Amino acid sequence: MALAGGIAEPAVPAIQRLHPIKTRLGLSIAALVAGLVVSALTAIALYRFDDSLGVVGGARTAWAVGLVAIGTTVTVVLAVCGVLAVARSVRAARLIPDDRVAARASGAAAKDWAWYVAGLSVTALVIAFLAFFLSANNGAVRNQYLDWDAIDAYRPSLWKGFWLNIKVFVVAEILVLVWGLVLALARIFPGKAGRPVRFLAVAYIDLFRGFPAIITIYLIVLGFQAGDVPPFNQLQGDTKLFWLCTTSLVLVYGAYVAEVYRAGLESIHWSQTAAARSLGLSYGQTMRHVVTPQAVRRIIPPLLNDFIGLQKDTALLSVVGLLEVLNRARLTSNRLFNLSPNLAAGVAFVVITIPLARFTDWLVARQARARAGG
Amino acid sequence: MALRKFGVVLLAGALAVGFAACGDDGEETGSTTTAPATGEAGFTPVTADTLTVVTSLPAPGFWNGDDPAAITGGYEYEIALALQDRLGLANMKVLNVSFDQLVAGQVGDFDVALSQVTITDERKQVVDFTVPYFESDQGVLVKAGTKVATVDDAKALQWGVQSGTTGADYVADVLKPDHEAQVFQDLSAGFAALEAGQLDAFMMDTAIVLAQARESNGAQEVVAQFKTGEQYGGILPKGSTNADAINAILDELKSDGSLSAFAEKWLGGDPSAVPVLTP
Repeated sequence: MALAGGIAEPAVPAIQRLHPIKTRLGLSIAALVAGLVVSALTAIALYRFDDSLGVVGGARTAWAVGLVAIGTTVTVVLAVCGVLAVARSVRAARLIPDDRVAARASGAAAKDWAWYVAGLSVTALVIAFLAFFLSANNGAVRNQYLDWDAIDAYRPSLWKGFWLNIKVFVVAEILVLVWGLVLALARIFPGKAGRPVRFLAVAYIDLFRGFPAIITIYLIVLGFQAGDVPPFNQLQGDTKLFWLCTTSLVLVYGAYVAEVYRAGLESIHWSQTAAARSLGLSYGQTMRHVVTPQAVRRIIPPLLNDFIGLQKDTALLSVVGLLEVLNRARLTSNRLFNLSPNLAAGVAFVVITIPLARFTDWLVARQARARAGG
Repeated sequence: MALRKFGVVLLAGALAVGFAACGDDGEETGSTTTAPATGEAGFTPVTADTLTVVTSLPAPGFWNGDDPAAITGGYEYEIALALQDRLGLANMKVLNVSFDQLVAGQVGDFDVALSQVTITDERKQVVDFTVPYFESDQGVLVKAGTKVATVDDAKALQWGVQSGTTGADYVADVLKPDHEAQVFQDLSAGFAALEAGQLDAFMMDTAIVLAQARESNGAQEVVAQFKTGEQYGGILPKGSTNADAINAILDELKSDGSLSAFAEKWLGGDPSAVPVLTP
């Protein structure tokens, strides 16, 4: 089409000079090359890992099949994404003269594919790094952490030990909920007459939060036995040790949880108390029926956070000889000179902690939605 | 724009080269660790002119004192002094580590560990031992007044052991008491639990529990022992080139009567006076 005055349209329209269509050819080629290099690195790393495994027979085949599958998947996915990126770039370049909109879309698609390669490459490099790390020194590293024979030898002790951790944790958690609330209510006890009670609560919380848990455990468990402290002196053997250990954790975590409760109680607007009192409820009734129920709902996420801590700290009880999971792990570990049982014990904790953490996240999200009025 | 494209390519290239280099590093680390550097014959300390000795406190009788920097005497301390003297080193440094790390070969940067370690084949796979310098069996430490006259008596007790010791293995594999033994990571916690009444008896090398009983001023006593024929050896880092130099001195100390003199001086109690039980 000729413009008025017979001047020919320039080869590149003005709009193209101002807003050029990006074909992303350079980025795409870089992505393809980088993807192939990463695939090669991953393959080498996995091969070395396989080499360091030192297993034989059926397990060897299973490992080889699994690793080859990972390597192939990484290579194929990276290569396909890279090739697609280049293909879209080329298509964009080809489309520019005919269909500018399609060319733009194709260029954008090329960019997307190139970034897929980048993201997946980082993931593949993490896998490669782990494989390199574990296979270092002819697999000595892997052998320290993932010696299947050592983990297998430890398995019966793991169940026995971890069951004890779970028992301590569950019983302590229930008692902590009660004890923490008592402390929190004492800490916000109103009026001049309540001053000694408040002081005692603050002193208790400061002391037990400040003391390293391991010292409290040591002092309570051994000291109460040596001093024949009632009611523990009525108990015998394993039961006695169990209740002493649980008590020491309750004393420590009660202080933490009391502060969580207090934050919750203080977050309830004073008008709630004022309204309740003007309706004729006593202070106790106000706390019982109005303030505490609202506060508890708000503090469930931070409470669960403390419970994750409590659950992990059951491992500290190994200092007083309780045959919990860490103590048993170290026993096997010392016999076999291998750290793998410790890793297995850690994994046992994680298996419980992760669902609890996700549950906490879910609760927080639900609360945020409720506050937003959604 | 051309420059930016070039930048992307360059970055990708640099990444690739960088990671390839990492791979090479891994390979190199592998070969250096598998073939440790060999020093010349004689003695090469990890710190110049200093004998670095590792032990695990408390070890009454063997290392008296609660602070590795202020040891006042002891059987193994005397051996360490003799080693320092005969090797012609100016200083000695004592490091305190946990026993189970030590026997698992997880402690580095020391010349010799003297920590009442029984020589076993399993341990030999992860650490090197010197020649033996002491013989010991497994003693039964109880609160004063507890009677352990027979093996059945012993089986009925609540036992305590230290993690990673031959005593722990002996209780679990040979004695097999009615209740599973409680396990402590260090001796002080175990002895405290015995004192608190959480345990009825603690199984540990006779010489060590004899020294503990003496320190307790009559609160605890050693009432029996089990013959195991164990020998203590010093631990050297795996592949150490100092074994010959140290062994020669230990042999000298044995033949010139120094070891017996040290035992007389620091390990007052006579292990052979303790009644022997045989399961």
